[in-house]
Amino acid sequence: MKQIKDILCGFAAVLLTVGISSCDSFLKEYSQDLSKVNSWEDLDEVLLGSAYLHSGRYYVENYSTQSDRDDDFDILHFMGDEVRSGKDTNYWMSRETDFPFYTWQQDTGMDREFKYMGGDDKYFNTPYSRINVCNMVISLIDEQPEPDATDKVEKSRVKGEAYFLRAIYYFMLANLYCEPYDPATASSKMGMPLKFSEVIEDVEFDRSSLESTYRAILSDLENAEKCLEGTTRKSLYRADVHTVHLLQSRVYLYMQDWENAIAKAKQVLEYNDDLMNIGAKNVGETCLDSSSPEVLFSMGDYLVAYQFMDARYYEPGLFISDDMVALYASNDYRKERYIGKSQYKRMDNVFRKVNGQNEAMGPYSSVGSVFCFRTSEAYLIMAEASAYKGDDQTARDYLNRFRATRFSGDAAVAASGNALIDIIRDERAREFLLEGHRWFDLRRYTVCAPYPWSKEIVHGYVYEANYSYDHTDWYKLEKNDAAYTLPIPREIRNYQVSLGNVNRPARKAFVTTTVHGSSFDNLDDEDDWGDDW
Amino acid sequence: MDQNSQQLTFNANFRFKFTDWLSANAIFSYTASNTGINSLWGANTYYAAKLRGCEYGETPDEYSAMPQGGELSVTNTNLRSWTARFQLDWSHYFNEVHSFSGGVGIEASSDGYKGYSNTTRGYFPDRGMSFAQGIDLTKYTNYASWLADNVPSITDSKSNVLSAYITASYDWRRLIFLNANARVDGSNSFGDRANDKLLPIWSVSASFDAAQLDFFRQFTWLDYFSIKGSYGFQGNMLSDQSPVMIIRKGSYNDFYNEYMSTVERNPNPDLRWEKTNSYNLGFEWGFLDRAIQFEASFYWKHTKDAFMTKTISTINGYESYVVNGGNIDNTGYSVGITGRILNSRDWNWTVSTSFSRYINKIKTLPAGETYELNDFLNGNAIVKNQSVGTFYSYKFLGLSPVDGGPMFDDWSDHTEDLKGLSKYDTFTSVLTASGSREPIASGNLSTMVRWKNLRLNANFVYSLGAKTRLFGMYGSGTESNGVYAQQGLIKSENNLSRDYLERWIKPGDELHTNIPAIIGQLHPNYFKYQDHWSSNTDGVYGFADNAWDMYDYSDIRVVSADYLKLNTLSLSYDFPISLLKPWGCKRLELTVTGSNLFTICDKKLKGQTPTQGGFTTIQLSDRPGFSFGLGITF
Repeated sequence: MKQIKDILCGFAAVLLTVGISSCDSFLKEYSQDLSKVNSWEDLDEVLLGSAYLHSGRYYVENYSTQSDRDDDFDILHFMGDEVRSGKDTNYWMSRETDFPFYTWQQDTGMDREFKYMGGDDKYFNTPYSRINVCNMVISLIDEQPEPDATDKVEKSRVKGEAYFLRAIYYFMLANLYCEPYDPATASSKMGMPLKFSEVIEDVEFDRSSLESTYRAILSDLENAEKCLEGTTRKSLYRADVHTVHLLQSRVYLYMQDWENAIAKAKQVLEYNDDLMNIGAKNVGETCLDSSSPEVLFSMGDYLVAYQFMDARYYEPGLFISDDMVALYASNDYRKERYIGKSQYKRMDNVFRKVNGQNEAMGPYSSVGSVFCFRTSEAYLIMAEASAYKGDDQTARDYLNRFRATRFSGDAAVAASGNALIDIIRDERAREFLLEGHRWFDLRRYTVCAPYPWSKEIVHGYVYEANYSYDHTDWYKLEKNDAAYTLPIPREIRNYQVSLGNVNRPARKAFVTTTVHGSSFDNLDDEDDWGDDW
Repeated sequence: MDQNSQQLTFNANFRFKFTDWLSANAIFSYTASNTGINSLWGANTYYAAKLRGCEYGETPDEYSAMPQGGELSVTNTNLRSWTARFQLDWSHYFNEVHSFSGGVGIEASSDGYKGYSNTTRGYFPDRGMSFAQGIDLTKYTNYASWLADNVPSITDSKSNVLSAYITASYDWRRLIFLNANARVDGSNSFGDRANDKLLPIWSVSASFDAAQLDFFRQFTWLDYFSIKGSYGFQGNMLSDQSPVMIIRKGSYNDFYNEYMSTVERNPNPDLRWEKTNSYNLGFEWGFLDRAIQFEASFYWKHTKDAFMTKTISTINGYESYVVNGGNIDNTGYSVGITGRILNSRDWNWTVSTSFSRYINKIKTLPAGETYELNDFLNGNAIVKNQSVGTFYSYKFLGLSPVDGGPMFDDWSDHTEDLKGLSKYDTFTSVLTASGSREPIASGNLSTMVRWKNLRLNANFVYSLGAKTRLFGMYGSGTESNGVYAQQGLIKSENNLSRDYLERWIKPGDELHTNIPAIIGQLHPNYFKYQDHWSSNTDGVYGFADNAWDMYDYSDIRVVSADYLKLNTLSLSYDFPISLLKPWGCKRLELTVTGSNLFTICDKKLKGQTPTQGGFTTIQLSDRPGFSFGLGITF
């Protein structure tokens, strides 16, 4: 009996010692998929997962349409003069949230009954949350181990991509929420709050001046350029040094620094000056996708193209506006390829540069609608900046080289001075249809020192009743309107009033009509207009 | 649906006695269980027909998401957990004067969970439980895209906890008792701050029966008079906070041809331990052969560096983080008395009642503008000189004589006075404190009367000092509340409260009612109440969205939440032994119990329960219940 007891005592003692000695591994942290940052590869993956904007798609599952998309900046397409509402509002899927942007309301969180619904703070918060990821990557990348020589180069690449992303997100914020850049007044205008540190700052942020904001963007791009020099990119969807050059060129253009804009655009064209021959594309084919020799980089989705979709019993919800259609001459290849007919009802003036009709549903967009960088932009920046400088010959050179691939026959331009600048600006509008440039261009033309210019824009918003058309409210954006700058969203202002706001006028419809037309000027029956006129 | 599970449990318990004062105890238990769930949607169900896109027996077209068979979902889970504890106990009595006892122990436990689940389409249960093969993916594109995204899901989690504890007691002549405990816990959960893995808890206590002292022995009416006190310390750290960035490893992304990971937690390097010190002091008296017994105790819990979630500017990239917020003091006392009023052979009546009071104060306010409007309206904001749980309301002035809409003292006539004020100052100026959600005092009263074999037990519960809001009538409610009556949902086909019958209908009604009119979208003054001036004025923090939410959260809708509730009332009868003997029963007892029989509270509540602290969402109050029981012992 005593032996059994002794054995059991010994057993227990052994268990105890074994237990205590394996304490460390017993308490070792374990998680199925969470981990700390251990290498530059982790930071590379995090940059791809949380900092870059992903592509998206619409697909049909169980006979209903599902969407799979990341954050977007599609509001840029609805604020300018590129699109107009159709009578059938079914396929303009985001029209309720886009109402305050489409009609340039004082508070972008209003719904169409003028009740506050919020949601507009996502255009403010999304860039900042991605900037935060870039800040963390930049602060952690240097201390990661580099066991061999290639790791050093890769670490530099990751750092460069993080700088590029930070710059582009600050650039987007500055052009959404701040006034257009005029070098004479930029140091006294408000810019964006800048945050470059990776730690939490529990303070009220100050808005730096517009000039400091742009200086910060340029400094990030310089760092990106240095870090990305000599590295190889993993795919079209990751930035490389040439993408940085194009963005630098664009930033200089917006800052009205023509010399630097030209220098950087030249660097881009030295690397790649290919242009796609639009005439070689069949009518109805997508003209802009990742196979184009022009595309340098892309991020985001092109789901705005699907807003132009129609069905057997429904018209498209959106059309290209009459103003924009009128810009395309009859010998312009893009007249039938960028703008075309809808799939079922064969209606005109539907966006076809990227095919968004029902037949194209399913796959992920291969390029994005707001962050697509291509060589055409370098050509047009060369032309525009040279023309502003007074160097009309260079401007015509690049413009005509570009136009040769877009027009049939001889499309060479011989104008000079302001007439030439008008043609270049229209060329930008024609080429970059629904690519996120037009709204920013309209803004900067209002303060462009050599040749300021602005136009009126009229948008009609359709209201339906009992599933059919009821009436249209028409809104007008004046020339040089204060509404070219977006208000800081109410949720953000409620948290910190000192961020201030822009002086944006309240806007009501100037007339309500009971017929709808492609533009306010060619509505048919004056007798059918409502009493407010 | 088919579910099967097996479970195996093994327990072993060892006792060792080394000497007469030292013994040891070891426990080991192991549990393993497997569960398998198979659920099947057969090919002729409606669910399968929806996926297939046609009726059973017809040929599916190319949009079908399940061209053949049914859908089978298989889930397997597997749990393995074990616990082991080893404890050493000692107990020794020296010289009839001193007594030592105590124990030290170590405990380890591990819970492992593995799960696997998978859904497959094209299953034929009657055809040898087989799956369709060779479905043409180029024809059935929807099925192909479902198939491409359909992957099994595996879960694997393991949670290990290791604890060690020690307890020691000493008593002197059974008069003075001293006690000390300490415990340390460690776990393997991910993200615990790397150097602070072990949580400590320890306490000491002492008790002393003064009635045993010679001085008190002369008072024969004093049965016992014990004094006890204790002090404890506890440290705490949140497991989901990390000093460094934590990422979630994702899988291979086809679009980029690379692996992708996302940021899971942002770094929070400055977060310190939350430390709590608790003090307890208690007294107990017994008089007149335990006819009257008193009990009083007092506690004080002091928490340093308490955790608070603080809202920060979204310019940081995220909207809130956990911070050490300050010192919290929880103090309270409770007194109880039990009296035996009658005690004879046939009659016995005892009454006992207790009363407790809580006082919560925050000593150091968290820095900066932590509190949002909702925190003030719901009683979560900490305000100087107000007790914790104080909630704020809008100042209601009355109904408009023109259209019956609610009017408030909302500074709309002197808006400049609010410009430039901080959030905290804006809210405390515009809103008024309406009382606290927490009661000042609460307690219970129970009584037992026995006459021969009949026994009556009653238990009352009471609460004083709390305030609550009446159910909302016109505001937008909370997000999750779909059946809420907001302005847009007041339609003739919805069920609504009878309170709406008393609403304002014509000018002059505002003199005898406080319920606003229903102002719909076609009313010319609709927009006047839809938007509040403060939400769109530069330099002023928005403190209200629209007049209807303001009405629900106004001071006119606040009522006292004092109540006295009869919790249980039970009557039981013990059958006399003489009746039971022939049946072989030892005891037969019949009981009738009623619970939640009535509640006495403010009549303005009109049936709304005062015991729930929730605001403006309609909930069912506790309903009365009755039960009948029979107990037999053989």
